[in-house]
Amino acid sequence: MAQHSLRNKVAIIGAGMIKFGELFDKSFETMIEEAYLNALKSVDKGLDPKEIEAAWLGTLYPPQGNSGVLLSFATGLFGIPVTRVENACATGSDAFRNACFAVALGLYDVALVVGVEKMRDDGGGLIQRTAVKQLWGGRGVTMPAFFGLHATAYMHKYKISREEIALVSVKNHRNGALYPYAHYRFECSVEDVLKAPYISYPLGLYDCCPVTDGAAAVLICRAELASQYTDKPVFVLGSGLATETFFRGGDLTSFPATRYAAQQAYEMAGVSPDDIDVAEIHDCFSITELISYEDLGFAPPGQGIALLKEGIVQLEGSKPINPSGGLLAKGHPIGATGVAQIVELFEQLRGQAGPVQVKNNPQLALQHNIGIGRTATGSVSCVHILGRG
Amino acid sequence: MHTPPVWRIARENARLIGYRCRRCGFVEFPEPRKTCKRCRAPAEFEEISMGTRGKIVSFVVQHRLPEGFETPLPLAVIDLENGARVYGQIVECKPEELTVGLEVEADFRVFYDDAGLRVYSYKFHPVRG
Amino acid sequence: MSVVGYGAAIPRKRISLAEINRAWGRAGGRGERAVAASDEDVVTLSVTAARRALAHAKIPPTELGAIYACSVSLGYGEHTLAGSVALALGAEGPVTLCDLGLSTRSVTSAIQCCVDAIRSGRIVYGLVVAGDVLPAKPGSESELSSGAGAAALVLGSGPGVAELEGFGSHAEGFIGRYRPEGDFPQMDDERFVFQQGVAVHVAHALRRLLERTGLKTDAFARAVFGAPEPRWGARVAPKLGLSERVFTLSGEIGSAGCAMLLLDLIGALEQSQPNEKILVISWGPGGSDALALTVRERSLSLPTVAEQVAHKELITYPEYLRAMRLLGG
Repeated sequence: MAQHSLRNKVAIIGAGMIKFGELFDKSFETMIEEAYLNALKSVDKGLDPKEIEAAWLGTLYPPQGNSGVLLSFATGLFGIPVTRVENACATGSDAFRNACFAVALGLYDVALVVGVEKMRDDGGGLIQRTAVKQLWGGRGVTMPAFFGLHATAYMHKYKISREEIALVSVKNHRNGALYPYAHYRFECSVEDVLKAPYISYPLGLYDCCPVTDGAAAVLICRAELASQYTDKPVFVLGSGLATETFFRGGDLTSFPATRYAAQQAYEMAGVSPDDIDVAEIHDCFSITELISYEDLGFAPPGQGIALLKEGIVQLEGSKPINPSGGLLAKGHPIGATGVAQIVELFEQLRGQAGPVQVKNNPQLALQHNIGIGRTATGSVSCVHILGRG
Repeated sequence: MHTPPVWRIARENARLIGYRCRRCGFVEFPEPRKTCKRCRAPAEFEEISMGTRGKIVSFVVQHRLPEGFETPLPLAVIDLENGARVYGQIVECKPEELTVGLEVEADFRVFYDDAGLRVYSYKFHPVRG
Repeated sequence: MSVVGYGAAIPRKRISLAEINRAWGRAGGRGERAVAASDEDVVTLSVTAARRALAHAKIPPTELGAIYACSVSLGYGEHTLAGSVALALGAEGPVTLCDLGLSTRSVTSAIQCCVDAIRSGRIVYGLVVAGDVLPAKPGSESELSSGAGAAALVLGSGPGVAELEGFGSHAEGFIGRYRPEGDFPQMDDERFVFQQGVAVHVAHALRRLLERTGLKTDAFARAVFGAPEPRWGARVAPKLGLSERVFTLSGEIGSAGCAMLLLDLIGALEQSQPNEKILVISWGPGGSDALALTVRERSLSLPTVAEQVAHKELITYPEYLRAMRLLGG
């Protein structure tokens, strides 16, 4: 068994992002640059860019080649190792995870992680790539279809209605309306969700996240150095990552990859699901959030809906989930998503989340992604647990 | 059956051929493997016919697809009679007829047009009496 | 020399002639025609028919020594229907592939080629498969009769469901009906084509068949007639003394090009009793072939032609245009 753990070895000392949206006026590199500068600015006691010894870039479909050098061009950080990471919807969080490995090992004192995606330069591109000309996998399968298949199976097994699933969209849009960095800043009703056109039955337009541009950045350092940069660091307590495919079995009412990744993270952190005070979890579609409550251990199988109906996961609840509006409202620029979730939790744990600050004085936070790869035949999940210093 | 990636699995796609793990029974499709996803270990596989009948595990109805697809398009995950699980488009079926557990049968159909050359594979239609 | 097994594939979608006429501001119209779905084509229908024929014949695909495939609407100037069928059946290896087409008559040429190969001892079993999805210009006369379908026969020298008694052929350089590549079909004056072409060639082919087999027209319980225009069968039958005995599915599915003759033959076989004789006549550019069959065993290939004709979904004219990709997409 493993001899080492990430627990309490890495501190987040700065975090920043840009407002997500249809950023037709900002290039890929401009987005990286702005997110990076916001992260630098957020370091309470200041940080000289020359102190950054290594960087990780999380991005799925970069516009000009695939290398980490894209980050150097956007930030001026040449002459240090820059590694590009791609791992479906867990791209940003896996870039963060790999940066944590290097810092925990003591290879570097300070590292930068940037997640970015430019999706609106090629509006239909991602869908085209998934759906068409993939004899072995695609068969007309899109991202909404993959999650819609889980929605149908879940609704069938647990007798859950579209109205009930709509509560996820209503909650997240309510939070997103308050969150300054969200792509969509409007509220919606259950009726709005139900009346919207279908994208992939049973999922309608409001059950789906938008196509969004965005970038986010975090600065991490060895835990013992954190006090040089801030008096309010956030520590990495646990991290997990796993893959799965429903072609191995299962009834499509769960994402087992999340269960494996969460178990790894909880064990490393030495905490249980009940200990989590606030979470940013993957709601690329409404159903994804509902099923993830159960996969993350917040509710037993088939009973996730109770968390919504009882107000537990609302902004004012005892375990607020997706105070930022989640992917449904904030947007889902793939590579940026995981990093932006960490940015948001950094602010929540430091009590600096402004209009969406949760009221339960959070000590422990959880970040989660579940994504699909291999033309929607396999899934990958990443989970992090963060704690206040 | 034209570009190398399509040609490599043309046989399996046209004839619903799969490869079954001799240890755990998991059916691999469309490429033969020497490692088993369910055993998570090297394994021996035998070539099998996956059968033409199966049951819908779950489904969606696709409403938004790129040009070349006819919508609304029912799409399902199907467990075939000989143990394989596959994706399949459902043809000759109204969306309201779809249910979890519906019995379907394989049909040989046009899949897509690759620069003027058609590529074929299987789709499914409901079993009718 | 026998038909060892047979199989048919008829698309489920149909459009009524009345619906086509309504779209063009015309009254009336009797019957329906088959429409291939946007993901059904000559290859898919031919593969389906061939699979059913092999299942009916109860022989594995590896027993086939040759595949003869016919179509006037494959849609390629260079391609292979026979090879596509071979792949889907699992009949790859030491197999002769023969692609025929250009004329609906080619289906009987294919049967002759297959019989010759079996008689010579070169092959044991051969497959003859024909499939068409006939294109038609919207609003044209031929739109009312251009259907779709495929059918296949497995031939062999042993006993089977029907025995081949002999052939009669007549060849001429008469064309009459033609289709430039990528275009819709065109025809010279139809009365000219029928009177100077169809009626003359068919009479010659039939006469030669009767001379060779020693049979009289009275001997046939049923006759099937393949041609690009299905109504020519009904029109030529009285001239040959076969009026009441012509069997055709064209009222239900329109014309399926090369496959029509075999579909009608299979429909006739489904209704026949042992020892009854069936007359088979094809016409297409280049002339006519006639052949005689004696039914040996009543054995149905599933699903039957009758079931497939009944198993239908009627569509509207806009849905038809969509299925035929005449609206793009």
